[in-house]
Amino acid sequence: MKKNPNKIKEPMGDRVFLSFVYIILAILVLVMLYPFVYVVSVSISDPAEVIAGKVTFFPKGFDLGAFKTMIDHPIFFTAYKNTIVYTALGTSFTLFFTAITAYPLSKDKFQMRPFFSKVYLITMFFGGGMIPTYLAYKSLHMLDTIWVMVLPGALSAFNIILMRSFFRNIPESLSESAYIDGATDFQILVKVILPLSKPILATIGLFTAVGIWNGYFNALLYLNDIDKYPLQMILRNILVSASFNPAEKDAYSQLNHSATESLKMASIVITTLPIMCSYPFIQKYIVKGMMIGSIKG
Amino acid sequence: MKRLLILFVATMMLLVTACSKEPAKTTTSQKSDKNAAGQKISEKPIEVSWFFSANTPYTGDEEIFKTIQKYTNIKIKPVSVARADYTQKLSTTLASGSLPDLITLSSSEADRYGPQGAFLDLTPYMEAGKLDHYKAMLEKYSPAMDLTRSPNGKYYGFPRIYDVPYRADEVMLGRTDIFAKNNLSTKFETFDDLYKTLVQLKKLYPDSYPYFVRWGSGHLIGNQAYYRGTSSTFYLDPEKEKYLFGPTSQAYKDTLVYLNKLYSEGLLNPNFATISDEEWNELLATNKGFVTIDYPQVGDEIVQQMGSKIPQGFEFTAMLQPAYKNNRVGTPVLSGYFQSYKVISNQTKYKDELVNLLNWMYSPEGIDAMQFGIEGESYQKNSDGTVKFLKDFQTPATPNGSITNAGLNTQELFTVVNQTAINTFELNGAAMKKSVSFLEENQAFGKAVLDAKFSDTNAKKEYTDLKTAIDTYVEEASVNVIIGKKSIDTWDSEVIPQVKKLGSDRALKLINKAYDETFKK
Repeated sequence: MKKNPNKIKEPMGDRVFLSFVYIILAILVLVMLYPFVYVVSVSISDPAEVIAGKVTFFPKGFDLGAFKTMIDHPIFFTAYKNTIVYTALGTSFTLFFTAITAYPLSKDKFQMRPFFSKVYLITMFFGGGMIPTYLAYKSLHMLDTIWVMVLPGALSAFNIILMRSFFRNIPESLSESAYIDGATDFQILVKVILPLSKPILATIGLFTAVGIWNGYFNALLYLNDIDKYPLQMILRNILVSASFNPAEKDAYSQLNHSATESLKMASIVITTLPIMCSYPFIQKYIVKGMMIGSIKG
Repeated sequence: MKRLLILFVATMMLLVTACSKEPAKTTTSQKSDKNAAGQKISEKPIEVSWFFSANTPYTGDEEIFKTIQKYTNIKIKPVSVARADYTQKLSTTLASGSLPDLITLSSSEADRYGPQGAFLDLTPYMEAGKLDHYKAMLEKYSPAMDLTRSPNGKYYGFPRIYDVPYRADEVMLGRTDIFAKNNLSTKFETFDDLYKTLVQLKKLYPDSYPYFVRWGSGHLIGNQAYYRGTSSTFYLDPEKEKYLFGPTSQAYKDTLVYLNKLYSEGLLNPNFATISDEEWNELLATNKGFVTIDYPQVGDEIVQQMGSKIPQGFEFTAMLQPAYKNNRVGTPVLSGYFQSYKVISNQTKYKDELVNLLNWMYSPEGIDAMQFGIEGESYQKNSDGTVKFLKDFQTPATPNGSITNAGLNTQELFTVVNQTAINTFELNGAAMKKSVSFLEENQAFGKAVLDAKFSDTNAKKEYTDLKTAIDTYVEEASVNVIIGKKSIDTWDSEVIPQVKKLGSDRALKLINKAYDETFKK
């Protein structure tokens, strides 16, 4: 490409500054990318090379055995399907319930607003505790069902506050003009407010989805039926061995022998891939400005 | 069109009601008569849940569960969680009051929740003679009966039994191939002998740290102290039949001085406090570590993991531990009683059947089934008593077997392991076989030591709290001596008084009282 002779040269100081910025950014990118590259490299490397400590950045040897072991796991596909179902259902529930709760709380004309705001706020600071919660789910007959995986987290006070603040930033004039045109509250929420709230929906949706996708704790406590286990339960079995106390007799049995480093990394790759792939697509909504062109004049 | 739709809906309704009626009938007819159980393990096919920890989730289709169903008519629905999550899941399950039918847990949990009514009291079954195999096995390994009995005098647990004179635990291991290559002896007469060998290895491999131990400083010091006949904490002296506190002994101070010498001369891996399993494997595989104390099974595991990348002639097998003041302390071993239990829930519908099932697991047929599967289908016994598998199981001898998760010879599941099982599984690995025969030849194995058991929960808590504080302090002080931050001369003047202040005498009194109570002296 031909250089433009009329281009204004940047002052020396700026160029030095910029190159420093680029160098620092490049280092940051390396620091953040390295763990990912390492995980992928180890997962496709020959396990023997991994043990010998020869894999540092690029894969050595090529072996998909670890992935095969994962896929051959008897409940791998069931668990994968479960995770997808839990994530999809759980995220939809969260968005739906949060939106219909946050909307009235964002309206000044709702007279009970301060009271209900406080009621929700309290749940942010006080929880039932593990065992009472377990007993509550038990008496609701939710244990060992899909519902215990998708309902309990559906309404979080934090999300409500986030969404309520977002709704409150949408100019009241929009709702008012919709009222004048004869819209009901529900219509306003669905046709005016929500279409304007894509960024917050995307943000909460993404966080919830990632949370459910990565979550194992509810499954651990509330599910006994292996056919309902999400993927993370297998991943956890492979990755986490118990705190190991060599002073105990027969501590050897506590060691996690079955999983090689490659298998551990392969399981991480398999489980995180879908969520990593969807990130860039949802991210654009989060970054996007929220109110472009909604009000004129 | 509308009519067609109505017809369709009507037929569907009819089908649905017809279908839903069917199973209701069968469930009522399935109700079993409790007294009919008799001697059979389970007359009717039943299904029970079994909670245990595992490295990989079990589905219930594994060989072991097929075997149990075949021999006992009991179908197992496994509820398995990762070991790291086991305690949490167990405590919520116990607190919620809805227990699985069968649970694998530790003796302390059985003693704690059993008397509260969570688990089935086995005493009446024992008196009625329904636990004959169980009783015979426990009586064979005295004081297993005393240890199994809960503080309230009742029996709740089915302990795991090592039905062998000894099963190897940790031993001194090393790169025997490197030793052979350099004409070094693997039989250490004294600790000085070991030191001289390490010096030679360092000369031959200057970038190595010949002595390398994993799992932290406690493990490093504890083992060295053990082979000097002492300990880094409270320990049972089998000859004096009472507990002593190791760090006050001369042998313990010698341990620290010795390790300090290794450390300062570059013979001991300086990362000993933080070394991870991965780093340790790497040192082993790249000729940077030669002597350690670890489980002999590792010798086979590492070969299997390294595959073709293993250094030529690699061998990682047992060495003879040095003697201290002309006394060679035997390696720790397991024999008889082990404090991992199975318990039956008090809420189960199938008490008799489960008692029979557990009793069966102590019988010769049950032991073989839990170890090898179905006779004639999964394995056959050769004329010399050895076992030949008929299916492609993954074992140390057949590391590439296609059936990786059979559940056979799995500690959370079986209750008894005998010599045939140990020979078939562990000792079939080349390195393990060599290690064990070497140690046997040199009479390096010790005797099993059974620890005292607290009957008083408050005493137990007090002891544990004191011990934790003392152990933490002693470990820190010991590491300071090893890395040369403090002189050993300060040991008696600073460390020991502080340990006394932390309550070592009181702890010793508590554990000795528990010991006397446990073993009925």
